[in-house]
Amino acid sequence: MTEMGNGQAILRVESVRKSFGGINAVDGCTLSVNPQSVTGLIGPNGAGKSTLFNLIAGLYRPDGGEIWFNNTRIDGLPPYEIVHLGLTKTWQIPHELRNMTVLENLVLGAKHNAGEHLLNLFIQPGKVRQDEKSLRVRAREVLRATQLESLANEHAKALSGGQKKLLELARAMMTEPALILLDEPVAGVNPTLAGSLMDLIDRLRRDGRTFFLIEHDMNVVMNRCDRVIVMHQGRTIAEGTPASVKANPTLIKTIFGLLRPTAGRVAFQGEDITGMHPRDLVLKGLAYVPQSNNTFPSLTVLENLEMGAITRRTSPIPMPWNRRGTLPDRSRQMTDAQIRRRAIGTLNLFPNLRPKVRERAGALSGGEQQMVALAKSMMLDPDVLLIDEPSAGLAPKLVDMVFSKIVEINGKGTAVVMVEQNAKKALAIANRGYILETGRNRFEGTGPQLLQDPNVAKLYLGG
Amino acid sequence: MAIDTGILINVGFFVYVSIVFAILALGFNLQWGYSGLFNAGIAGFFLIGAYTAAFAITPRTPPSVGYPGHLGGFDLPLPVGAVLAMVASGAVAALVALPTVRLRADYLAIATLAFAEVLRIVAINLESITAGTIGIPGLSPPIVFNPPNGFLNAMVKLGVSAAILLGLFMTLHFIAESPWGRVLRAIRDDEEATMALGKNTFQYKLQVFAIGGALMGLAGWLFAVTINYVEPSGSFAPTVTFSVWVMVIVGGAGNLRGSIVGAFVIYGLEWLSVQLKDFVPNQFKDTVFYTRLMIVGILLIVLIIYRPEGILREKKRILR
Repeated sequence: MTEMGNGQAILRVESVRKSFGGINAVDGCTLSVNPQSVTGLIGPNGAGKSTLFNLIAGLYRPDGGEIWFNNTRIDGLPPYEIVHLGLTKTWQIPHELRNMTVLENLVLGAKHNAGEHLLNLFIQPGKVRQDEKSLRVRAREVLRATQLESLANEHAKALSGGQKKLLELARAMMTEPALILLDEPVAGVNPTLAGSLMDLIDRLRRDGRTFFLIEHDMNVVMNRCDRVIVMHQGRTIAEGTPASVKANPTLIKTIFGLLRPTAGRVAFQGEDITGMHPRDLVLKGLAYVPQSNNTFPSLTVLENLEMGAITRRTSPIPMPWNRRGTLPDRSRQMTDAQIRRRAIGTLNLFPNLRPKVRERAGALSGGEQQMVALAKSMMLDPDVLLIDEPSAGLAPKLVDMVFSKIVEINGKGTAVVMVEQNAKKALAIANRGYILETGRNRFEGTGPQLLQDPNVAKLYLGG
Repeated sequence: MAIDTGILINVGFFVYVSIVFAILALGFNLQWGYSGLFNAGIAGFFLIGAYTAAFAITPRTPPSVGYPGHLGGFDLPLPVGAVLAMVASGAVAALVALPTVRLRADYLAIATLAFAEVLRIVAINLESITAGTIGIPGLSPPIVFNPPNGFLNAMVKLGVSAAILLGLFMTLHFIAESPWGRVLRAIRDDEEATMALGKNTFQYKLQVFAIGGALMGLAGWLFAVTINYVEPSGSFAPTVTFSVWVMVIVGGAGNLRGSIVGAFVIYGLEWLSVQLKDFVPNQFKDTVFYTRLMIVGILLIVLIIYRPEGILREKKRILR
């Protein structure tokens, strides 16, 4: 139909949509991937990248649009059929089969294994043995290529985070894919290993395979990808060679750990917190209010607040293989009743939310939702509150309301760092301001100083 | 000098009832320990097996004064009854699995628990088919001795049960420790990842639910044949399901030998607590039985804390 529909692309995504409870995670996304390429998919958190991968791999069913792999339409097909066509994916958070050995994980990746069909065990025992034998040989070859051979008979759960990422790739290779979707393949992998992993990807690409990868590591994106596609709010907003697409990783997200910095340090109360997991940062007293999707729309206001204090993981039925790490300290200190009391205390700061505590957050106005997000982040009594564009999308009157609330929060002893386009109003309430340009500090000073600086006024305050 | 056969008969009873529980536990272990499917309706599949066996094996029993009669009375041979019990229970398990096996663990548990309770209440109330709470007596033992010989009878039941358990264990070991069984364990660890490795996980879950159900049906048949009597209110109550869970947890999920050990240990505690009655002062005779519940409770808590993987932990499969 279009120029990219001429059979050149190995993967075509056309106007694909997917929403979860009223939030459009993927919103009319169109893109294509060329055969034997390494194509990067970048974009801020919440842009819909992982959702798009799950849609392509068949783990989610799209609400609309079409997905074509080679010349087969694959949207709506179950994931196991898509794998058999030669398309597979890995996860950002490794989905290793934890109670099975590394070798077992790999052997399971094989598309054809007679012994996996119950009847064959009885009617074709010879073929079962033969398949199993040759697959184990092949699995060991793949393990050798991914430097995991010495771990072949270890439980997958015993592997380090980086080794699990390697295992994911190795297991994906066992399905003999033509196209592999990699969700942050080098996240959490040490630089040496990351380098050899990317070398391996290069080699496999030369053998004729295609890679489509989500990555936040700009070194990988800039040096290893042929083409980069940028996604934002569920759509592609730019694409081209890495050099032509320069994304601006925003500082506030770097601080919060959602994007990992490539260099430099972030210190909090004297401690190096660079690259620390968001969950740990919250427990250290650092809270973050994202620009959008910052409430749970299907939960009530009160439940939203309570969620702000709940950081533990529970399972309805205790399964021996589900035993995970211990609970972090801050959450352990609070019982359900204490969480409830704290929520009611926090509402004192937000009196206009009090009559609406039983309403679903999604049903509130934009300004009220912003209040819910602020209140939720106050639940763990943070020392520092990071707020991303609190005024975005709000009417002017509501902006004043949100800003005065921020001043009030600050007055109670919480330091506030906010990113804001509405510079005049932000600087009016700021003790200190930083103006960034292409990722560097351009101006710095107290709020009033910056407001009065003629250069700042000319460039950023609209004269 | 004659040996006191009473004790041997009693011990024999302990062994073959333990074997009935062991078969139930093997079925549940396959479903939960291997595949992560939390079946809370074990008693229901057990009931289907027992009643199918009773309908098939008993001679024709027309309604009479004081007896409502029941379905069947087909007077079929015992092994045919066993096959029918497995087929009926397995087929119903597959039907139950069709809509429920896609559910998350907690919802699957609720759905199957409800299924089993509905079935038991139907069995109590549908008198024209099941004879209600009066039950179905007259299931003949594997070999009828003339004149009746309680000791030989118990030993034959013991031998038949032990042979069945051995055969089942070997068959199950063969299929569970095969590439097919490996897919089950993969589903248990991470179903999404297993699908992304090209496995039709729904089909595997359906198969394993049906096979587990068939095993529970076989246990029902063995129970009916060894007890010679089927009755719905006590034998198929949810506590049977709970006992089997405890057996698999105590024995070790994901380890077939563990299910057999768990069944003997947990049913052994119950059996011992009954035997204690003869050895305690009069004022404790009525209550000593319940010490079992305390012991099982404490055992379970201690085990979950210090050895959550059970007595026989799941083995690491080393591939050469």
